[in-house]
Amino acid sequence: MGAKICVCLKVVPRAEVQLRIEEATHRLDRSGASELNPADEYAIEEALSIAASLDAEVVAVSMVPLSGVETLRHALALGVDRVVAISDVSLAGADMVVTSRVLAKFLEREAPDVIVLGSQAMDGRGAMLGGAIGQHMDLPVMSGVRSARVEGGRLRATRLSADGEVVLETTMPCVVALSGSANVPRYPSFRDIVTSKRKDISVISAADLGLVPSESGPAGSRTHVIGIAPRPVRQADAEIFVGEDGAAAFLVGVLDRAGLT
Amino acid sequence: MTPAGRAAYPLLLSPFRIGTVELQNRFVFQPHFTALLADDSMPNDVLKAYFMERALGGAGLIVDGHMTVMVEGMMAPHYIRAWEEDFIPAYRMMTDEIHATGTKIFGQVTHAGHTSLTEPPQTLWAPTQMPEPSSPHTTRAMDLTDIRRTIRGFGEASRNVIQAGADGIEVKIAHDGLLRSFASPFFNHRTDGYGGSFEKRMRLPLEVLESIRVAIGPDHPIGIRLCLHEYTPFGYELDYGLRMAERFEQSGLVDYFNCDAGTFSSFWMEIPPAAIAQGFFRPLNRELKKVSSLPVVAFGRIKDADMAERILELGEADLIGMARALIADPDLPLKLMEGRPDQIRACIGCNDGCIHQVMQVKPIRCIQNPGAGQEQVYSERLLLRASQPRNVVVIGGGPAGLKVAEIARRRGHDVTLFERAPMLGGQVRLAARQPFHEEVAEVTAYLEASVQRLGVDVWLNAEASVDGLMDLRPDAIIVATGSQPDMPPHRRGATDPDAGAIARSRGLQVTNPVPGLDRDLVRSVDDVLAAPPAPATRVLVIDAHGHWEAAGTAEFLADQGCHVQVVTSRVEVGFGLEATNKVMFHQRARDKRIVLSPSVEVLAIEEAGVAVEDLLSGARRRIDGVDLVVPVYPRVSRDDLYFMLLDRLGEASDVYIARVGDASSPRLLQTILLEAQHVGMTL
Amino acid sequence: MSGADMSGSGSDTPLVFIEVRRGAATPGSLALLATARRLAGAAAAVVCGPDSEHVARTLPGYGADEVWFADQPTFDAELPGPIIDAVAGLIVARGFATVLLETSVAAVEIAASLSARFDAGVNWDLQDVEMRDGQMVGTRLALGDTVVIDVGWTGEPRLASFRLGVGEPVEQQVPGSVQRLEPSISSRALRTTIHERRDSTHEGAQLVDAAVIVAGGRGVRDAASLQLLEALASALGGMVAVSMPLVDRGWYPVSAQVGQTGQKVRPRLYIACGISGSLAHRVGMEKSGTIIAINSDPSASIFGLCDAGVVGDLHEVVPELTRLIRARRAAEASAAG
Repeated sequence: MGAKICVCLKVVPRAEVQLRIEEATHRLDRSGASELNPADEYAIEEALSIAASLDAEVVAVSMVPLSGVETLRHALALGVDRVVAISDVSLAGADMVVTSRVLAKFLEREAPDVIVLGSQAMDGRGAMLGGAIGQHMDLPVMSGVRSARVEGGRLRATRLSADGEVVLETTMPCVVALSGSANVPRYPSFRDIVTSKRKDISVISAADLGLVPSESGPAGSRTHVIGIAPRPVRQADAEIFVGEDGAAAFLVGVLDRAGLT
Repeated sequence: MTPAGRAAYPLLLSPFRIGTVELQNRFVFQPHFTALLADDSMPNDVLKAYFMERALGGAGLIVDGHMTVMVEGMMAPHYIRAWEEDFIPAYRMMTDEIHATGTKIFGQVTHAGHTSLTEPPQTLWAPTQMPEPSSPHTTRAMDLTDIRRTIRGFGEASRNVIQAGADGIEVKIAHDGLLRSFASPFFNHRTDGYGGSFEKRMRLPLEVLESIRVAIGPDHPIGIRLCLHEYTPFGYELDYGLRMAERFEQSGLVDYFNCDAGTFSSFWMEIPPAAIAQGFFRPLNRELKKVSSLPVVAFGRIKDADMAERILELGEADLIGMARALIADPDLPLKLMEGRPDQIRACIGCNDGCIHQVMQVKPIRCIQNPGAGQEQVYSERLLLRASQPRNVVVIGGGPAGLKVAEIARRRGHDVTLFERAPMLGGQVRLAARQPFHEEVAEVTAYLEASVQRLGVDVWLNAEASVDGLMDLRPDAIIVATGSQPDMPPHRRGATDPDAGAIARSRGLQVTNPVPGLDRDLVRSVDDVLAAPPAPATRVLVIDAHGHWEAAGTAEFLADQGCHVQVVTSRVEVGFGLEATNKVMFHQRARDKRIVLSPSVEVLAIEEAGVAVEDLLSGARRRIDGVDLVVPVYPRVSRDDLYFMLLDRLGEASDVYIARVGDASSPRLLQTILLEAQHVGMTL
Repeated sequence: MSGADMSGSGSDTPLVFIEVRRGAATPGSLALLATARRLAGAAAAVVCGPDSEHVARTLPGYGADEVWFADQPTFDAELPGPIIDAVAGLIVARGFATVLLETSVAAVEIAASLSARFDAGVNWDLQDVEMRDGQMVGTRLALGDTVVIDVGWTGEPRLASFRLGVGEPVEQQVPGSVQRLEPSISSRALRTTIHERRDSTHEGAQLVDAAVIVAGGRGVRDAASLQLLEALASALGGMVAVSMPLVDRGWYPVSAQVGQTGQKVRPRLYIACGISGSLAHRVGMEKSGTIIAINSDPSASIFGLCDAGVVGDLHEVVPELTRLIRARRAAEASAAG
């Protein structure tokens, strides 16, 4: 059996789609056009480059509503060998605990050597999922990673620190959660795009993973949404300074008050 | 969630009252000539569809600028003969339909006076016999009978307009027409009761207002479209404009002011192109608002809803006038109400479709909105969901490919788009580098956002092949692969010099016969826009095309510090530019020391110079000291993929193959987007 | 399952995870001590790392009633594994029902791991928490910060992770006990080691990661003037971005473009110089933390969006601001040295 890298993906509404939360369910309306979470392209690229050094298979997995399964085809075009969608109505609205448990269940079966996750811009969801998956599977986790490679049977990862960079090393299997933009994702070739359009994406349910509703359904979630309200529009109550003389000092004051200096 | 619309634009979307008339929001579709009527001057379905499109889009008020008050006052036959009653029944049907949407409509009554759009013009009426300085045609000095007929004409026409269902009357004392010439010290030299002092110059407009009020009774508002600043060396300026406003307000005959500026002699300020900053005229609105207690409609290059909201917030005006912004996107108000401001298709201030057309008395059009002026055929409201979704593959992510993809996707087809560059936008990205031309990028910015939002499967950096396309099993392949400069292959630039080889080998394309285009000092326009030459380079641009491709590039190079000369065999450089843009380009070329050499034909490109013939004298000479020649001839299609597909599939194939945009025939953006919309609608 | 695994009765006092940067507690984590006091009238704190004892002793000054620190050699800010074990052990031993953290890279990993270990709910990117009818309710912004979402927890412990920079530290001296933890560390935590530390600049840094962005638009006079923005960005440890017109003029690469057709960024600080604030640009940056606008046009719509603004010539204001920031940095460096 050869080496294997798994990469966890998320399908998100395209940036051009106006986001909307359904009032009844408090869930994000996912009926619009979707795309691969842009940060996940870095995760795929990193997975492909680690895989190249190990001659490993790359398997992508995503917990995704059925309507978003086709979006995962992008991963096939980029060179992922196999894509698995975990798609189940009972998973709608799953919180982080449930999501990480479902993914961990799948990953335990696949038993990869490295699990790669992308970050999600500011909210750190990738690091969140990575940390939880590592805990579920009792694997070491490295997050905030900018680049990772295999060195002497161990995974070596670089990440930014307050003073520069730090290089971490750990045993495999392990979990790697990337920082925002770890590398330069490749463009798939026209040929790869065409080929990807004809590959299959396997779709499995929570039950296929042996999960029972108390683990994977709403009952498994440990957080819930109580209510949603429009945020008052950013008021035009900005402090405005007119003129050049003294403007810079004014701005330094603003930065000080915001804790940004 | 409730749409953020009203919360984000609380003033713009709030109701407003002008006299007795309640408007649903602050948007005013400004009066303008559309040339949509036929020679019979009767209201027709084309004009109705044009106004209904804006009414359905949510405009608060439409001001129809087509009402003339007497036969001698018609600028063109395509205005309504409002002094006669014949138009009332047909017009009434239109106003009823408009009212059913919640939108209100005012009629702007006008007398052409000393200005005209027809050639030769009608008898031009004026206070004093003298031509409008921009015109070779002089005028007839009006006698008291003419004046009395005019006053009566305004009254009768206004009464008819109200009977035809309009909610109010707007009197044009604006950039063209009789009433401003009476008010203007430059045009009015009379010594009778209608000239000689400020008060006397105001007399005709005031008597006209009185006549209208008597004719329509007290229940309907009357406003004035008022030119506040003539922007000519000889005309009046803002202080005089404000004085006029004060006088009109004192009369008690006016219910609102609609701001305006410019004259036929400064017509680029009437309908400012993109070279005039957005919101340029805000100080005019603001100053009027300071001296007047009446509602004020802001005007002039307001296209951004945020700017509009801010104008209201700062108290610069009460209503926002937009003409071109609502021509480009009739649904602008609706999109704000529905919390979709990101989906607005912005006016780019090109004036190519609107002003350029109507100044030639041709029906109004719009680059951004192929449906403008032809709503009955191309309104986006007419897009039908495809009965059977088809697998549509578009090759090329320039404006043509994007537009086909957008329309096809909106109709429910599965659309995949391949673009060989790492970004969408095609030539528009290059065009937007030209000075004062940035806004053209909003054409493709809108389309890019649309195709992404709609879920077109977009792939960048992907060069399509025939084999691969066949593997996709498409129902339709749209080839929108664009064009390239007409230059010898190896001088075209880095990317695929052989493009067009198939067409050339079949005699479907020829190479440019001008000798010397293969020399090292020649670079294509695409090339210099992407990678400008060093400052102080001496550049000769050949303008055989007449549009921005040459003129804008020349200015771009001048801004880079190059010494630029432009030659054209035609009588002026930029001969195909729209008039407001052309005037302003020539002004800037002078300021930037660009040498314009019209009536000069390039015979051959030589070492460090070009051989030319001076067409006026017939003399042949050489232009020396040239480091770089940038030839702008009509471009040639990049259509190899199209021919390869035809060869592969043969005539009998079920796969629909079409070429659109420059790949079909290199043209200006307006034609291309219309063609692309048509293809998208018929897939 | 939740809570039932834990020994002892649940403590009402929230436990605050204190982060250390450059030898001091971060303002964001100190602010959480005040949050804890507001919730429960008391605060506990845990801090880990080689110099954590020193930091621990400062915490009663910000309202921490009980403080634990772990300063054994296995603790390093770069290695969350042992920290997770220490905090988890403390939660079990003392029965903490609520844990408050910042949303930093390390804290996220800690919160996630605790969540999986205790089958506990974690809400992150929070703005605030409060008690409502005896229940703890968190608020966070979503959908580009256009909506406020109230979130709750099912079971205990409740893990609450806060958006960076939402709160202010509050100085309030309490008696406060300070104790060293002697946690047992799992083998998993010890599998990751530090191979190398490098002091370096952020080569190849990307706009989307930048905490500070100085952006230039149409109002920037010429390509050379972008150096003014670069200098300011460098002084603030940030990056330069541009709006589309400057990319189209060829002054800056498209990778630096913010807006509808460029990158969508959310730095803590966004300084818009000569940017009018067109919608196309706004969609790329309006989610930024603090937005500062410098524009000579008082009616530019960016002034309706920013937190603070200067109506003035950026070519004068930016260099002066750079000078002041540099002077400040120099003063800090000499004070620290």
